[in-house]
Parts: sequence; C-alpha cells; structure tokens
Amino acid sequence: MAGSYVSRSTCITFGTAVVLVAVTAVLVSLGVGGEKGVVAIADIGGVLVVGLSAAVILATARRLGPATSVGRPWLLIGLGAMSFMVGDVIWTVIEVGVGAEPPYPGLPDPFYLIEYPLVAFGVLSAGLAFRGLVDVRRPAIIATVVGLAVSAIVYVGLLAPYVLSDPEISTGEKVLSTLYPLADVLLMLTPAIFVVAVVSSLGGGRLAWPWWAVATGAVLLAFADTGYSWLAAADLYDSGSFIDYGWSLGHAFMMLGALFARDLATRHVT
Amino acid sequence: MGISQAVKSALEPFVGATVADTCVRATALSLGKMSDELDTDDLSALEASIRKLLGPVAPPAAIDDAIVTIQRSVMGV
Repeated sequence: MAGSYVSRSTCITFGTAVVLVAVTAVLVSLGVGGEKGVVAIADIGGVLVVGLSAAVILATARRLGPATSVGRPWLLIGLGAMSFMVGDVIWTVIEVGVGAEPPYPGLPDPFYLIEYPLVAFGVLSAGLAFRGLVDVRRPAIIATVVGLAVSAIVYVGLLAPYVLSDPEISTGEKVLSTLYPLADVLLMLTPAIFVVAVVSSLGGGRLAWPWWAVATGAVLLAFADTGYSWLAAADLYDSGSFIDYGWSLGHAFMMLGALFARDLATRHVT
Repeated sequence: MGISQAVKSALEPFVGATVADTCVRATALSLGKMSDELDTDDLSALEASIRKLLGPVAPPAAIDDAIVTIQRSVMGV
C-alpha cells in the first residue's frame, strides 16, 4: 500500500529549521538583549540551523551509501555545509565569545570558501548521473552561458564600481569580496541551473524533488553571499542583517533536498 | 491499456514522463520489439532494464517500489 511520499520526520525536521530561523529573526528584530544579545542570537541561530542541516545531509549520505552515485552528492554537500558551520562557529566565538569584530579576511573565511567546490562537485555529479536517462549537454551549455553572463553582470555591476576601484578597501578584502560573489555565481548558481535543467527534462516525478530543493538552497546562498560582499565592501554589514537568514534558509533547503532523498529511499509499497 | 502504457503510468509519478517512456522504449529496443508489442513475458526484461537505467540516480528501495507498482499495474491489465 502506498503511503505519503513526504514523511512526517521530513516535515518536522524542515519545520524545525524554519521555526529556528523565524524565532531568530523575531528576537533580533525586537532587539532582545540589546546590541550584544542581538549579535549572539543571530550568530547562534545561524550555527544551529546550518549545523542541523549539515548533520541531516551527512546522515542521508551515510544511509544512501557515500560511495555510490546516489549517496556521493549528499556526502559532498554535507561536508560543504559542515565546513560552513565550522566557519560560523569560529565567527561566533570571535564575535560573541571574545567580543571582538571578526576580521575580514579572517579565520572563518577558508571554511566558508571550502563549501563552494564541495557543493559544486556534489550538485554537478548528481546532475551528470542522469546522463543515461536524459540529455545533459544542453543543460550544461545553458548553465555555462547563464553563469558567464551573470558573472559579467556581477563584475560590471558590483565588483568594478564598488570593490576593485575603492582605494580604501585592502587587497585582502578585495580578493575575498571578488572570490565570494564569483564563486557564488560559478560554483553555486551555475551547478544549480545545470541540475534544475537536467531534472526539468525528466518530465516531473519525485526523483526530481531533492534537486529542486538543493537548487533553491544554492540560489539563496548565492544571493546572501553576494549581498554580504556588497554590504561588507560598503561597511554596512552587522550580524542580524537580513542576509544572515539567506545563509540559514539556503542550508535548510539543501537539508530539505536530503530529506526528500531519504524519503525516496524508504519503501512505500508493501 | 497495454502493458507499455501500464508501465509508463506506474513509473511516471516517480521518474517523470520522459524517463518512464525511455525505460519502456529501451526495453522494447533491447528485445527487438516496438513499445506497444511488449507483453507480460517481457516483465523480467523490463525490470532488468529499469534497474540498470535508474540505478545511478535512485535508491534501491525506490526502484523496488517502482517494480512492485509495475507488477501490480500489469496484473490488472
């Protein structure tokens, strides 16, 4: 007998992440605990959501078999989320524990940056696994063209006028503020477009659900990072900014993809 | 409804219309038949073909579900 294809635990786990983000946003907007309280709530809320996401994605990879073509993408995405969480923990220790402003560039940045290639390889390998079923060349061409076009827009609209030409921004900041948005476009957005184009050509079906969710997460992360680069370059970023919720929700949607994949691996017909 | 249509209908909610059609066509082609010439004797070939095609992208439990759904669907043809 066929049961529901979205399990109760998927609803509860994703709901928990969304509620955590919402509670964090409400507490931050109410200014609970003053300036220090807001920073602590924003930072710790982010760590909890990203940590939950990383743990669930890695557990899914373990269940599906991390060495198989079905489980390997989740292993890579989960390791990427875990790396981001380590960066967030370091950021929180500096900002909340030590009470200092995290340096930019600083110790968390390598951990944030490691997530890009891991997610890119994970999403690309998932899309390529469909090559025996649908044409993957056309999606690859579409994603490459869109990725290069958006990179050019980011360069002309953000990097050249606000980052690279500003003499007050240090070389290190310029390198990072260039790396983040370009990595977002080339290693998050482009693979997301590729996998969405691939699963769109399946003509529907639950097999596509995990990758729609992951692509949504990748787009949210790309917007959050690009926004952060712009705000950091303009010296306008503070913890508790709306950008923080983009990172949290981006990882929560990637977790939702893993939960859908886990539900697929559960027998429903008996 | 013929066997091929029953198989497509059973697979479509899981893998989508395009891939469901691919699975049926690939099986028919390997047997030297047209899709609408498949019959119940070809079920084991269909199962092998579906497992081979979906193996890289779907968990084994999901493929097992699809096979059981197909078998039930075909028995009702």
